[in-house]
Amino acid sequence: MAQATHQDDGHHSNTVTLLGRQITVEGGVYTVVFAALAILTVIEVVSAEGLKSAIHDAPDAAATLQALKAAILIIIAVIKSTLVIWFYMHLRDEKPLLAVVLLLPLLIAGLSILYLLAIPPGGYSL
Amino acid sequence: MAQLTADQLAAPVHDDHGHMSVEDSNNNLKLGVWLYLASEIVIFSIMIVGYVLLRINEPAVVAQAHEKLGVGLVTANTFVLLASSFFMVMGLRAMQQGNRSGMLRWIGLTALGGIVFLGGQYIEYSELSHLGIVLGYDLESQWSTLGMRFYAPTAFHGAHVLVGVLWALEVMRRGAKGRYDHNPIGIEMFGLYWHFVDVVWIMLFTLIYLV
Amino acid sequence: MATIAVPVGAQAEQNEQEAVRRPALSEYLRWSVDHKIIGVQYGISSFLFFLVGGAMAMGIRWELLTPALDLMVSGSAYNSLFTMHGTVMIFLFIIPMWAAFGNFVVPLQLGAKDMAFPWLNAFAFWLIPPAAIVILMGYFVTPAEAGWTSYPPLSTLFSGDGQTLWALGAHLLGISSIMGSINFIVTILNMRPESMTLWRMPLLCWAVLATSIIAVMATPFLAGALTLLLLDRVAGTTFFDAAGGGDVLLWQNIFWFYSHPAVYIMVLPGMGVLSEVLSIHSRKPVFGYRMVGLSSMGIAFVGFTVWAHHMFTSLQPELRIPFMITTMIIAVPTGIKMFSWLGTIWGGKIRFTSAMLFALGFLSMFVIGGITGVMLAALPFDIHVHDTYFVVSHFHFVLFGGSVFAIYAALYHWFPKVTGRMMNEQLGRIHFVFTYFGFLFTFFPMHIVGMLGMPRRVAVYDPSFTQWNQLIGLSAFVLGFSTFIVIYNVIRSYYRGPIAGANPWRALTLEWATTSPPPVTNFIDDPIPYEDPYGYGTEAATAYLDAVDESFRNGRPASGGH
Repeated sequence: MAQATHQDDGHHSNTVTLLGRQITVEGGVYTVVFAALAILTVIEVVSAEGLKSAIHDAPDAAATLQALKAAILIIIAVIKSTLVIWFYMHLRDEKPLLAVVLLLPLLIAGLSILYLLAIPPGGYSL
Repeated sequence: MAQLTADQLAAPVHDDHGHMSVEDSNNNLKLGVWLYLASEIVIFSIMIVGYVLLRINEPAVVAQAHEKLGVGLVTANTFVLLASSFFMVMGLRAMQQGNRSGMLRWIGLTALGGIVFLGGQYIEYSELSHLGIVLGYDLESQWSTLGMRFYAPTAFHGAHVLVGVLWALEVMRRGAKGRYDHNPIGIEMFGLYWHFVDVVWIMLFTLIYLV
Repeated sequence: MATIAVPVGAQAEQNEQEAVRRPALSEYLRWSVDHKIIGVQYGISSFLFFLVGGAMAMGIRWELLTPALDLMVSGSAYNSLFTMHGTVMIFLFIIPMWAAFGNFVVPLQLGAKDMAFPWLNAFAFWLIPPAAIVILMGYFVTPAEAGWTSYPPLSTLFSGDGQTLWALGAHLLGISSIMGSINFIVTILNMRPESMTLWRMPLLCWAVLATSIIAVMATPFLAGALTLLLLDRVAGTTFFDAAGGGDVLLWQNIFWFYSHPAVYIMVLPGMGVLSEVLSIHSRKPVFGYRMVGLSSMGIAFVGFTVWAHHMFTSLQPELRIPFMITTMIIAVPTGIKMFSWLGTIWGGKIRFTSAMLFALGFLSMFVIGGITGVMLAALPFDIHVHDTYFVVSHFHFVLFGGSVFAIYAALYHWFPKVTGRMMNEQLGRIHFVFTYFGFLFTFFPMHIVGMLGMPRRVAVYDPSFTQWNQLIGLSAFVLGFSTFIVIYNVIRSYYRGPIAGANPWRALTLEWATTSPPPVTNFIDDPIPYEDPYGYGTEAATAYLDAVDESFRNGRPASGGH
């Protein structure tokens, strides 16, 4: 991913190294991240629409395609969120404690949500 | 017998008596905001889970709603919010470089982005209510199970955007007086909140409108 | 140790009068950002709610003296009475009461001048009075009558506006609790003196840290659930109404996501208090310090995995056994604490002060509550006694026998620091005897009527339980009476008690290394903590304590140089 060239001046340098190439742009790494977010969003919408029509055309494989679609979209959304948290919220410069503060509720909420999702559609049958 | 050492007796009362150093205070504030955001993560997940359950249990209803609404408006709205997040971080960067007027411009754009987003959400809500998708339960409506599960998370997020816009205006007011010239922590705290609201939207956009 | 670092620094420069000046009582009625004032504000207001909730408990026992309806006009009136009793005791008494001790003691133990965010601290406190007014107001409209757990559809379809007010008030209290806890976490993690590593931190701070982590991570579940409940009540949604495509169990799940961890919010600080009190009053180091600190964290995290044991009868059958297992696992860190406490007092030089008596009362009562907890975790037994008085007995043993006994121990222990005066030990012992036996004879028989099959939450019961209920009722009145002894003792001691001095218990933690009550900034100079907060019984510790006494002779900082 994008890496600032100057160690201690990461926020303010306009030059970033991206995939081995030097890029100079106003805003440096922040602009590069924004571009990545925009591209990922376009990919997301295009693939969602594309897969939706694919599902429409191939009812046999609908379940598989639907799962594939959900997986792709959620992975992209997680990448986007991570980009924002890592660069815009400066998690990369912070103490690991803050990462713990972020991951703990995700873990707890994740566990609870998985449990709620496991409730069968018609409720429990005793 | 223990005695107070001469050094301790002679030690002057600390200059920062009763106050913390700026760095310590900044660290405290940042940790505080992160903890607050941690609790927000939990609330939002409760809000979203109802929708996700519906998506799994009644895919047809959700698919129909997607069909009616389309993704154009909400994609545009997403871009606006992503851009405002970028403006936000550029505002902080400007202030860290000592550029107060630059900071005011960028934060102004941030607030504008938030307002445009809310406008988009208003348009979307009116379209939905024309379709008959409303918050309350309506036995007659085919959307009866969808409305509440859609509006609760999105409106809760919208309320956070509204608070963020007001906070941005307050940051501008204080920034214009030079409050952040030497210590931009106030901008950074607002930034953390604003980016978090953006991250929540990234997840909501995917989970509610696309999946 | 060759040289003893005395934590008092430049105290000598301090003016005598200022050091022992007590805040005027009017300062407690005003907005203040001083953590010591806020701590007392929390303490007094939650004690008032304790009296309100206690009066309701007396009403409940009065009603249950006979099998028929007599005090209450209807079953509904009785429902709203115990609903308010539970709500007031949990949300307005125990949780804020721990905020009281946390606020007063934690910054002092850390040698800090205040909490990390003093303004936020005051704001969190001042959310409580309006929340309390909203909740109590609900009692006088159409009161909530769904119990403190407020399960739908009782809380949605069969309750009046009082339920809406209940939800609003609980929401405010949740926000207050989250803000207070964020403050504690930041204070404890970031504001320790340099020489105090996490592993040299007093155990109350460990307990408050664990509690606050739970509060920040769990309370938002309640906030989310209450938001949905309010929408159901006022906006016509049907999140919890199966007839409208909602899910009744969703509430139970989300509520217990919060409320089971919240049980530990209510008792963990008490466990921290116990480690302090038992160690100090038996002059011995805490046995297994690290394990006690870690077990607080262990309880905090395992506490998030056990919630569904509250729903054994409404739960998916396959999930019962996993939750039974996690519930039994959580007895392990709790057991570590029990053994640590026993190991701490074993062979110690025990002083039977009132604080120590209540701590020992906690030990004996909490172990019963813990054992009935494991009994209830066992699924076959739980199915048998669920919704009976056995459950009522269990949670009163942990909440009264646990939390309230610990609150009294903390009161007797830190009262001298808060007011500069000692409490009357004679009255303290009398208070203890009445409370202990009143408590025991109120709640122990409930195990028996529970196993005999008396259901909870009913005003009219089978006449065969009458004698048991009369025993319980009379004991409950004794227990209620005992509260007035401590009120009298507090008021009397505040004005007439002997001057306490800086360190009446000769304790090593930092809150005792300043005057009683502490000056506005707590410490004049940055205090230096003793190397081990519980290192009693060594010559170095004695020398350190003598030096502290020397510096604060007669409760005042020494006025001359040495």
